[in-house]
Amino acid sequence: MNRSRSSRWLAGGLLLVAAALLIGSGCFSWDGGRRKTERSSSVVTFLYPGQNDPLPPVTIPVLRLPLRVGIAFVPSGGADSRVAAFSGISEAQKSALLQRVADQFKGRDYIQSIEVIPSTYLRPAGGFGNLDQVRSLLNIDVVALVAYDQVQFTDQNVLSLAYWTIVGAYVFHGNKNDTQTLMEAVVYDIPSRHLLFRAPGASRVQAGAAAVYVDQNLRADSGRGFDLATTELITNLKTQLEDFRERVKNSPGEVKIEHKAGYTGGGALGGLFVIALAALGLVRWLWRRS
Amino acid sequence: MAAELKTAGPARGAGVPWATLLVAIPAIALAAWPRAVDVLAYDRLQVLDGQWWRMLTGHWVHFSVSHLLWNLAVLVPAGAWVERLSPRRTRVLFVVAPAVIGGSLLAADPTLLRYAGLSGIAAAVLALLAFTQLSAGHADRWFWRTVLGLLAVKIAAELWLGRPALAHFADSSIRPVPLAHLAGVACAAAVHFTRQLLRRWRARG
Repeated sequence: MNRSRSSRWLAGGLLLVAAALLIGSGCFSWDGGRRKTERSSSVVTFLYPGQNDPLPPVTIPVLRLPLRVGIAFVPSGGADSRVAAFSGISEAQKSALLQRVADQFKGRDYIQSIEVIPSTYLRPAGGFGNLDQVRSLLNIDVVALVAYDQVQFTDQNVLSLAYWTIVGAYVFHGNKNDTQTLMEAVVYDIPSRHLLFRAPGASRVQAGAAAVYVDQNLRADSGRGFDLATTELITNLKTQLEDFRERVKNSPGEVKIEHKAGYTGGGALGGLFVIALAALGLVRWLWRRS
Repeated sequence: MAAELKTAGPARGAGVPWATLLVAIPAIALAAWPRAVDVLAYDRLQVLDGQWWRMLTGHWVHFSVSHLLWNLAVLVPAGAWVERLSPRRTRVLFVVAPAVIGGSLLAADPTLLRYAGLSGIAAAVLALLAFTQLSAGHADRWFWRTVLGLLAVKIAAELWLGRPALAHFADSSIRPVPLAHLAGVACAAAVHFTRQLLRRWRARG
């Protein structure tokens, strides 16, 4: 009697374990866990769509100071895309990153304004024609185009064995995420189609994640990767900007610098003022004589 | 009545107003040099790039001959007169005013890229002459108050309108810079009243 009861308990227990394993293996099947996500945009694809051998610009750029600058993310996608492909980075994130870059260059004497250009103003493979439209619309002279290339890898380590239990998938960091981001800002004089200078920024974010939170953590890592790359981009942009100023000073034939009309001031008392003073003096002279 | 109508007389050491001439003659000479404005005018970007002397030399170059002549028409008579009345203060003003005006333009008007002209210094000299005459306490104080009033109206009108008042530039893209006149008048007031304030302060001490 007792033996039959204990064997019933044992059979029940084995059934439960089998059921748990079945459910667990259904949710978290072992596939080696490797995953790669890539998102990128290209300045060359945007500016020279379908051109294998673009012609170099022939005119010397003329920069009229202070400059009105536009800054935008290059839309991802090629000439065949009618709308920008999903870039993996939200518009709000893009806008915040561009604003960070813009804030660093505001208040400089040779920069009158920096406009953040919304992504909707640029179309994939829009080329210089698209930039000319934006130039007319926003009244800018120079544009800084920001392109990026972000790759995310997810690998599983030995802790991922714990995913066979449901709790382990929540607790143990059996995934290793690696996010590598490269950003590049290229600054173009729109009328002359001249590349003035460029600056890169890169970052690498590595972090562990439990299976359930892998996607959530990858999104956070992506944002952090862009953020860190932007910080480096800003530093490099400042250096490149100074180098560019030196280059302009040392080789004036490379870029022509002009000052915009209306920013020149003259100290003048003027003819009417002198005449008014002379008239006053005459009144005083007559008053003294009387 | 005749005694009441006297203005302040020449001070000790007053002779030839050489300081005024030292200011006026280089301005006339530089008018003959076509590249003077390019090389010597106040240019904000160049000043920030290390060519600090442009803050000083910018006063001695002009955009046109009429621009120079109208400024000299105020500077030379007013300068010669006040230099006879108060030579030391006038010479101090001629040393201090160019730097103060240039520094004010750099600090307070970042949109002003280029500036040229003696008018800031001329306004300073005219204001110093008026302050000196008013301090003498003679009967024609109304005249000097009116001169200061005219200067104040010109500065206020240019600040308010953003275009030249009682003046005209051949090149319409050149804007007036009332800040230069304001800084000049403030400089003249400082030079004129500092000595009096120091005396009072010492007397109290």
